[in-house]
Amino acid sequence: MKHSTSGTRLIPCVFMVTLAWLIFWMPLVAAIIIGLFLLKRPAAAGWFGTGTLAAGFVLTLSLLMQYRAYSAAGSAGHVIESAITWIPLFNMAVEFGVLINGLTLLMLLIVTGIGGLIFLYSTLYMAADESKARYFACLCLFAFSMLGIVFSNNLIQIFIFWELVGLSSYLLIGFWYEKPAASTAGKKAFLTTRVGDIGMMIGILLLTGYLAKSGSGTFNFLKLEGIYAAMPSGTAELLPPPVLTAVALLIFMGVMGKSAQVPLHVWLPDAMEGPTPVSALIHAATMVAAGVFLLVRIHFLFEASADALAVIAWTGAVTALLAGFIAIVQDDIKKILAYSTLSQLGYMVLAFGLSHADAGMFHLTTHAFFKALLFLGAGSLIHGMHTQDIWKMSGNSLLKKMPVTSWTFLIGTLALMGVPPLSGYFSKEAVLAAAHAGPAPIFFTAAAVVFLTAFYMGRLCAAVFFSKAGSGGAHTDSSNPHHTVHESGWPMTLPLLVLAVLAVMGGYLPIRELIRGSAHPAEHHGESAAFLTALSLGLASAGFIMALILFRAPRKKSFPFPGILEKKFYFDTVYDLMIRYVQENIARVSDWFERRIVVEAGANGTANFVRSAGDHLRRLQTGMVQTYAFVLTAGVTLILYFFLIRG
Amino acid sequence: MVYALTWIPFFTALTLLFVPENRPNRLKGLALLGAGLPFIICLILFFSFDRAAGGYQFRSSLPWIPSLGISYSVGLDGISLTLCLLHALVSFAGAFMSCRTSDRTKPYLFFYLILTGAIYGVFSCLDLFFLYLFYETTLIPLYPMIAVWGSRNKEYGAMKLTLFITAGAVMALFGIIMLYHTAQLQSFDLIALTEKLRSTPLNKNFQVWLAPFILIGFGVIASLWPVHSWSPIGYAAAPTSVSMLHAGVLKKMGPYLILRIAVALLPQGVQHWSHVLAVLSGIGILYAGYAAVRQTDLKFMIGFSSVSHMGYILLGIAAMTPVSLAGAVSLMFSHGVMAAATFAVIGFFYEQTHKRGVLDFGGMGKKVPFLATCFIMASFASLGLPGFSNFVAELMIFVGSWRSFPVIVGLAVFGILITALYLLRTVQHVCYGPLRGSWTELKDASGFFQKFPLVLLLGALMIFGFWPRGLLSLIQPAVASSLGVVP
Repeated sequence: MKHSTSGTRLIPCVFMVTLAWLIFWMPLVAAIIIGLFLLKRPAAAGWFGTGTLAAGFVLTLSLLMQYRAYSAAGSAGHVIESAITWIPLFNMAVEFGVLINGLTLLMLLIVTGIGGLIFLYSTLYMAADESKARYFACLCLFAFSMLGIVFSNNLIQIFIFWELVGLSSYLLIGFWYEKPAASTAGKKAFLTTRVGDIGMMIGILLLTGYLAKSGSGTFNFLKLEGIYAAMPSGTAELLPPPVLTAVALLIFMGVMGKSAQVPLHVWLPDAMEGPTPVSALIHAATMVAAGVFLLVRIHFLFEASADALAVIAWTGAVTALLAGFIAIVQDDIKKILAYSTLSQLGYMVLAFGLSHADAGMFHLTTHAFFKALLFLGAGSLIHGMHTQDIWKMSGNSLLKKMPVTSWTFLIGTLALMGVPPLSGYFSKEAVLAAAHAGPAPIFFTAAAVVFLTAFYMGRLCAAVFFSKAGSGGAHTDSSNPHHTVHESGWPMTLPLLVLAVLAVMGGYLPIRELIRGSAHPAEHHGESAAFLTALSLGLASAGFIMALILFRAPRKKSFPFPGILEKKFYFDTVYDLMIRYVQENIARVSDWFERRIVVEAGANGTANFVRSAGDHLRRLQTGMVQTYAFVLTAGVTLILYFFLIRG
Repeated sequence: MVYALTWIPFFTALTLLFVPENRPNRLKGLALLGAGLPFIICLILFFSFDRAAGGYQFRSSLPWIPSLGISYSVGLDGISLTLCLLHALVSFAGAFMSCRTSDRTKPYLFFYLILTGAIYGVFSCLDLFFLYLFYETTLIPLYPMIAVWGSRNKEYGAMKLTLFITAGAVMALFGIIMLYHTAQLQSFDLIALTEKLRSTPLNKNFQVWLAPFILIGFGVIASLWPVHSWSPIGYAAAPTSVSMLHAGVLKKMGPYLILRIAVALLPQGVQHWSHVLAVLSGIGILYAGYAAVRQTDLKFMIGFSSVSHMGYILLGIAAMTPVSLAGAVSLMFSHGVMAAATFAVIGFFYEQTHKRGVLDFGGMGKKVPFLATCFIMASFASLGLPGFSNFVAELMIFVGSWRSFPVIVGLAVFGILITALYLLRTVQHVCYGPLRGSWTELKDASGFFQKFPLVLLLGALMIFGFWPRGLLSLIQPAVASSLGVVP
């Protein structure tokens, strides 16, 4: 095991590394224990899983304190690395290790903290489910996979946990596997993200293949960063610019898969088939955060290519805009939030593409607070009313019947819209500032998304909370007389309250301070800050108020949106056609080739040839002595002719 | 000790003949003993192999026909020990599955043990003559086992499988005899031949001319595209434990012998054809993958899947770098164990329902959770999920072959997406959804005897998935020395 630090203070370093490994492995151990021993005791499984994450959070806080003391004594942006050689590859090695810096710690806090709240919430939300124990085993596996990504110190390790996150999401999205829609959605998530993973793998191979030529092949982040840092001064031939761009874009494919960027975004809305806390986990603390985290973790790799950054920025902008548009026509509360997540992820990626990695990461953090809050709130609403349709939820005077859920949901909405002084305001301002400094079309897109965000959230709130009239649809009270809308129990409301506090206060937490050591900080544009605040506030309130006016009345669904929005810009349609006509036909041709050419013509043809040859040759064996005698005589005559007469 | 690997199953098979048919428990006990003892020996060998020293260990030799230089010599290096361990796992698990045969148990177990012993013979033998003898011996029990105990189109499948492999074997035999004559050593001893040919390599043109005989001859059993077509139908027709052994272990004899004979003895010849081999492997990966997408019979699908995976192994061999070869050997192990586990699960389904169409099942996750979990785990191992040793092996093949064949490796990486496509589709049909058909009577695997084989196989995959150096410390030095490079 090697510890690479710049100081000689090994003792605190060893202590921190031990803590890190402990945080790392605990959820896997919990998953195994639940899987082997607690499957028959669901309540115990729930509390055990929640306890594990809580313990992980406490240990992370302790690690954070250690780290601050440690790096305060040394230089800022201190990195602690500890790794073993996992797979020796002759002149390279795949390591397995932990890398601790500010970025790691920030993500650890998000995963264990918000994850822990979601676990707690799940203990009640899933209480009635017969497979609750399996649910918690998968949830622990999910947390483990995500921690693996956060701790990884090399490309292969991050790829490994990247795949494990895919597995966990597959298991959880398809959790209710008896529902065909759920198992299809799980499959779709796995396959779509795997398309990205393939690009990522090829990118890794391309990069290390080039480096290995000069004998400096490595997967290690710090070593790669060293190589990239030395690049401008003379090692340009090591990695020619087109290769740099290709590597960056291929690895970005992995990000597009996990962080659901257009055109690999199609799995995320379908992933709503999973239990709602899982959606919260995927959208806030784990899966989609992984992509943005990877961008920031190996920012040097992308920043080496201006072309790649431009593609990244535009991908983010397009995702933000398209998803924002689609969100305004959805009727399912979870779908609206899902497209909202897509749109916000676009923001993060956009900020990164404009070289403001810290703004992207900041937005990821605050987004984790308020999006977890919104999803858990939505879960509580669904739990209380047994419907996901926002129009069926309307007219229940929820602000009175489910006060905690409703008010925290509204706080989350305001934070998402970026209303000061809530957390979303600060991070969205950072992203807008980045866009303002960038190309004008991107800035306009980003500004338009502010309006769209407010508009679809306003529509949602108008339907669910502010609509007076009962909807024409299945009204919960009348259609289900045994059921009355009520507030959920404390394991569900407590996480909502905690997250609401975070969503409000998040902007004042020292988040950017933590990131700053890990990514290049962006300078602030003081003079434009006031303009941006005014603009975004104006756009947001315009959108929200417009939506309230439009949708508060029972006009609800009848609003004439263009059909292309209903069809989600035809992405799914095109993919279905591609699968049906391209993929299936290749398969069909292979199958046909196998049956007709390889088997019938090749194998059976040879066999038939041999058989018919045998048939013909068999005719010679007539069993008639006269024939034999004739052939014999003829043969002898021929031999005599050739040897005696011609020879 | 290495002799015992081969001869314990053989002697147990003979003993079996003296046990009356109506004592099934005694028969089954003997069969488990015959496969179990070599398993234990293999574990002992695995842990007592001196990894620092490397090379061939546990060697011994019996002179046979001294005038022709034939002797029955055995010994194991890292590669053959890995494959022996694979065979030990699969044959032991397969013995449990064989014991579930209710029809004419005694002859079935007899053939099974002969087959088991002969495979050990191939992997442990260091004399080309005996190697070939054992290779052919494996075919003898296979034919009756498939033709008698098989299912659906079994005569055709058995005949096809036997003919293909025999034809390949004849080609390879020709190559081996040519090699024997040209080396001018009057010896079939593999180590002596390797050393001789390393110091005085054969003429390059001769190598180029001879290598295809070995490559195609043994490529047939490795289901090299386009001589793979015996494989899906053969597996579909074969009874469970034969499918396990064949897809798991027998198929690996192909790449193993290519490695031992072609790569080690005719390196320049293989180098010359490496592009062709790589292209064929690439085609095999994608083509068989796509063909698997279209299959509706579980065993056919797994058959094509194994053709596709063998493509990765052959690609690793074609690249001929230490990393890619080590990856190929690890994948031989990993794929073998995985394929055996998959066939075992399908066997459980088939023997209860006599159905194995993908669409015949549904909702198995709820009905038979243990089997469904095993099926899902084996599928994820197959699609290269980290945590199973298959991932490490495929990764090494990709990294090792990238410099030689970047385009084909790119396609091969794409191949894992196709694998995921058909496996997840199948898992969804079989394990998820509402319970389909009238399988309300279906029983899950229960008790030690039913669960043990699956736990053994999947456990091995996970152990080496987390601890790849357990295998790699065996394989890497051996691979390096067979390429003649210093690690």
